[in-house]
Amino acid sequence: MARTVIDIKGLVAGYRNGQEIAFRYPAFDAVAHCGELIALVGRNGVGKSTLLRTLTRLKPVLDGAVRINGRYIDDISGNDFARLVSFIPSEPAHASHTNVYEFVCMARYPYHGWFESLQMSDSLLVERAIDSVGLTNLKKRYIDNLSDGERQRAMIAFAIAQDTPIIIMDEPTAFLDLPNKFEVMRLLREQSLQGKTIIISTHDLQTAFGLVDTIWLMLPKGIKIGAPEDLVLSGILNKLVDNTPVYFDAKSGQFVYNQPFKKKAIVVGGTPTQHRWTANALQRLGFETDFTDSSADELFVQICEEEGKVQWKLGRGDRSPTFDSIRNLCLYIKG
Amino acid sequence: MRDRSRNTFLFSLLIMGVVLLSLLDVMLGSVSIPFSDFIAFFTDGSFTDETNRSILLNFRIPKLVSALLAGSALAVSGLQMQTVFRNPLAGPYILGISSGASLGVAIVLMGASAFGWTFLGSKVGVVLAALVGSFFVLMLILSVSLRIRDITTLLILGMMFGTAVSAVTSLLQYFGSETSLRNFVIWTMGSLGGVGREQLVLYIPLVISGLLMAWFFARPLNVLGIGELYARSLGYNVKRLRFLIFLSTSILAGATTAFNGPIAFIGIAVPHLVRMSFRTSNHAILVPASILTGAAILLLCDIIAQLPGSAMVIPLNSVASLMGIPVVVYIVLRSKRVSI
Repeated sequence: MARTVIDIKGLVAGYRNGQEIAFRYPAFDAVAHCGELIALVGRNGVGKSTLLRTLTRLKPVLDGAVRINGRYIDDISGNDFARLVSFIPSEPAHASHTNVYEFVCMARYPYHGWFESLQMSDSLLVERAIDSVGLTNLKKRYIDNLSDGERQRAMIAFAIAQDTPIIIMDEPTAFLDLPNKFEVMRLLREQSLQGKTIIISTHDLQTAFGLVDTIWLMLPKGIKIGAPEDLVLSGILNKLVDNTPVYFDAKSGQFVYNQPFKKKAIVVGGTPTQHRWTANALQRLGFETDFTDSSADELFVQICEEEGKVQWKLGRGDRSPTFDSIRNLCLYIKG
Repeated sequence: MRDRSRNTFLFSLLIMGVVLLSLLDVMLGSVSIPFSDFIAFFTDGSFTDETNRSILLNFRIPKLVSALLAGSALAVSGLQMQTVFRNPLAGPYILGISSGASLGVAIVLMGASAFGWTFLGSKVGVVLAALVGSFFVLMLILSVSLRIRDITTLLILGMMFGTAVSAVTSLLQYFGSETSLRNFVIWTMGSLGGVGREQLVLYIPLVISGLLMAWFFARPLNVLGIGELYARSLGYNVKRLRFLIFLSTSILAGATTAFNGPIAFIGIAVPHLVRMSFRTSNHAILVPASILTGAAILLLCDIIAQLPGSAMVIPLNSVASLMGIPVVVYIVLRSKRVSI
């Protein structure tokens, strides 16, 4: 078993508004190990950012204790803490005339006095960090002129250059397109394989599933911890979407929007894929396509292929209307 | 490295510019001093004409020093405020420092006439009053900055303080006598000529300590410019840092306003000019570059304000705005946007 790096005992995360506690998340225990990549998952407003900011000392611990490598975080000096934990907030770095290289260089400040200049070893580390996220060609580009994906990679380079055993990032995959989401997760995975403990908050379960070791599922009543697969098999993932029209389909591994079906439809013919996507379109229109008793069907769609062209036929008769695309079929049904 | 050679070039250009403008500033003025006198003065310290020597030593050189100090102080304090507030419109007076100084001056000038406190209306009295006034606003801002973390709230409070203090100044102006009103208005127009040798003894150390602080904060300023959370996660105590940066700004802007009146434009425009020409947000470069650029531009303004060849002098503030604003507008239009 890997070494424990972060040890959380009875932690109450939250914040005060004046003297009153305006928000508190119930006390919980958790442990993060060396080289573990953890995704903090939860609904909007459940307290993910608050928890991350408590772990990074940006918000005070209301109760309980957090220890890093055995030391209580409140006992660690600001500078030592900056060498233990790098935190990348969800708001992107912004500065009009700072290029990627200068930006990543700032991550080395905790290692030097206010007047010591950066050493050769620092610039090597910075160059390596920039290289590892694939931004070497853009290192002279101002960070304000980067695309969202490039900026996120620059921020990861910042965390890498800070050279800390722990990296904590708030929503690193927000605003990114799918390939960039996977790229960011891959880069973080790479860092975790080198022994870094990484905690990120995310809403991208699909991306996280394949690449994180552990999910900390933040539910309003408490935190559930497990491998993504543990949470699927135990059915706990559905707790995330309690009281919403969304449910988790353990078979497909996807969250599905639960349509209220008013009518029924039968789809026949076609390849399994054609069948699946035709049914998908009909479900969107409020037709239930997956049912066992076939007595009261209102709609009958037949998928057939003529002269290499797929066609959708509505109704059982010979003179039933046929359509060359699902879009036209749907337009007809909607009237 | 291309950046480095460009920086070297720009810095040498600026240093040459400051030296050249300094010489011009000393030579030009309402009283023309023959060029040969300067040669003699700078080579062996001798001077043919005793009046000219006195003008040079008691008036022009103190004015030159005061221009150098004021230009660099305003530019650097403006730079610090733009970075800390992450707002391109911020400047040295954003915290209400000049309003505080104005109130102090208004009190002594109007008060002097209203209550017959003639001793207060003197030059030293004005400087002291401006210092006390800006110190008062400074204390207000600093105490608030230790309680409030949100930077926008701080900005709004600073502007509120400034407005409130200005309102009191307006009241004083309303009730002030005509002569005192005129003196006050002239003070608000800014002038480098008010600083004598005795006052430089106080002015020089104040500005130098403020500039040293700013230079000392180069790295934290870089990180604050990226975002407060980045600064905090790199281990900086942001509240303490802001307190110290405000202190440096207040010393620079407060002392400058006290000695020279509120000089417009330099503090807002120079940081933009410097960022655009040096193409960096690194304060290790921006601070010295602002010192030199601020000094050069204020010298240029002062030379123009002297209207070389004539015996007239026009208000420094008008020159600074009229000359500087077209430059800034041109730069903004060319680069399409101004940002921190």
